[in-house]
Amino acid sequence: MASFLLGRAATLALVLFGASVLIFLVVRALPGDPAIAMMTSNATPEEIQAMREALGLHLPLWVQYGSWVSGALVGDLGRSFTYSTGVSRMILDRFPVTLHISLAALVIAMAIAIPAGVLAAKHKGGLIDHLARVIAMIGISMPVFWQGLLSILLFAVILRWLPPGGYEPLSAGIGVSTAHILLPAVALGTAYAATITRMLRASMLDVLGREHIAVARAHGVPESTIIWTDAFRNALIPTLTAAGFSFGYLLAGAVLTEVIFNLPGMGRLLYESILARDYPLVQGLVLLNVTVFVLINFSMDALYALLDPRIRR
Amino acid sequence: MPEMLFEVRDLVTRFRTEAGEIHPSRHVSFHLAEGEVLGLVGESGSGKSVTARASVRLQQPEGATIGGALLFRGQDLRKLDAAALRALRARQIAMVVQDPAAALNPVMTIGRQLTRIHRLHGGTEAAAREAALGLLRRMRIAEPEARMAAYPHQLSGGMRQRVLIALALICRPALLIADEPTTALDVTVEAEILALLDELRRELGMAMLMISHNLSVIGRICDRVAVMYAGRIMEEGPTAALLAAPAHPYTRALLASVPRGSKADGPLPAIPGEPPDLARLPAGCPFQSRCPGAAPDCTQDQPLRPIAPGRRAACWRAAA
Repeated sequence: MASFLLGRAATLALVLFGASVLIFLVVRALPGDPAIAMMTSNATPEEIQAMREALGLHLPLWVQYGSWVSGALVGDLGRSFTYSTGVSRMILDRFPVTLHISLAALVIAMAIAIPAGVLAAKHKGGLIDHLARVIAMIGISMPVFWQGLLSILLFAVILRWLPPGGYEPLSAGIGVSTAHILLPAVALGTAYAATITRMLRASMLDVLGREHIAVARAHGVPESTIIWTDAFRNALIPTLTAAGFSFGYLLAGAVLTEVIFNLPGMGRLLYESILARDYPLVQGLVLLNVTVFVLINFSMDALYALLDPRIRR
Repeated sequence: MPEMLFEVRDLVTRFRTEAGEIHPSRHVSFHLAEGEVLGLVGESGSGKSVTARASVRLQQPEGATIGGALLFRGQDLRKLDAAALRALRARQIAMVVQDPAAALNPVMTIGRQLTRIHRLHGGTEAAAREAALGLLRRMRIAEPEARMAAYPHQLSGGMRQRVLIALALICRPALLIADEPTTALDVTVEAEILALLDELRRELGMAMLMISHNLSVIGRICDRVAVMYAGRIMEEGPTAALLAAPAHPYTRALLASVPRGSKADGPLPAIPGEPPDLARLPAGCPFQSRCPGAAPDCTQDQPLRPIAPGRRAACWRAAA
């Protein structure tokens, strides 16, 4: 188990290094010059050059990369061009918001997907199965922003039960905070639930058709144990991959939700930073996204090893 | 005369497939006395596995039993509800299947898979552990304590099959359905496991329905044999008599295609033609298109009829 995780950790470090190079180069390959983007349209070439030098853009690429990565290793991601605040500071302010929504969305998604996927598989071809399929199709097909707008209209504008947007941290009180997070988390979580439900249903059906299920039935194991102990744990293994990936996307890509619900999260910041050609900010955010993604994968692998004895060794 | 344990009368099963409805068992009848071993032999696709499983009400969701009586100690299994049926499992009726790699839960230790069956039927944890260890020892598994903590993938195929047999026997059932229990194993392991299974069966006084396509396996441990083809029993009788003097043309063809261990015999005669499509069976005998002795009356149904004491065959011309 330990050697398995160590091996994974080494791969993780390698992936992060590769990603950092790629992020750095791709950001610089974007059309547009940040120095020009920051200045008024009547700036002289000399002024632009001075700005480039002030931002450190005149240095050779490898020097720029070196100073960025060595800073990143100790948690300093440089200064934003547009906000002239530390990128690390900005991310630290925004990350909890995104993490909060994503985790809430994850909890909602799991609370829907696990019973729905398992019951749909158990009653394959029955009413519950068809219902779950139709709802999942709607959940997948309906864009998150549309669902978000509808829910704002219903719960905030018509019923006035919940605030239409904005963010309150948990420190402001659980009630207030949850009221603000509920609509965006549901909008995100239901889309995510749909994917996981379908995945779980398919893998439950696969497992329920296996011989060890027939053997367990042949020896009198009750149906509820068959479903939740014999089948579910086996079905969870492939489902986790899908769930893990989706969670990565959730964390990285809640842009639309954050815009609609006016949440000060990372998605919105990334969107704005790209428009402004704010190299350090884009780099910092994307690097963080990659790191989160890789870490999620790593924890999925660790979870796998926990669930599937064939992977441990 | 030993007492009757299990009697299947006129079992009819149905499967819905893409090609349409098929009937893997068509009016199948057989019986087992206490402690008796009946072999159910036939080519793959003859319906033997579906028939055996359906006879103890273990079938896939696509299948259904649409006719017949399944009398276990006089009680019709088709009339029992799920709870009553579950109470019979493991303690009265157990099952061993072909592929030990797929038949054990990959994420559960061997020990847990064994003991939970025992506990399910009223044992304590300590008694379950005792029973499991005892059986593993009886199955000649080295270091049974260590194996109890192992997962299926850590064991060899032969070892897994022993565990699977231990699983089936842990509540000392009266009837074991053995669905090709040694087919996935190599020949030496197969012989060893068959011998062990037979030994344990005698010890427990357990009856066994042994499904196999392998006549030499059947010949080694079965008291009686039933030969299945296209969902029907074609011939039935005591093993020695049936193998020595097969009465049904299909049994004769099947026996002729078994290797006898000498190359000098020349190429093996294969049965000409293809097994019939279960979705489009001819009227009468299903073997007529491949039968060397086919005659016009073969399109008339011939149910199993007695041809000698204890022997029955479904052929107009069969004689012992």
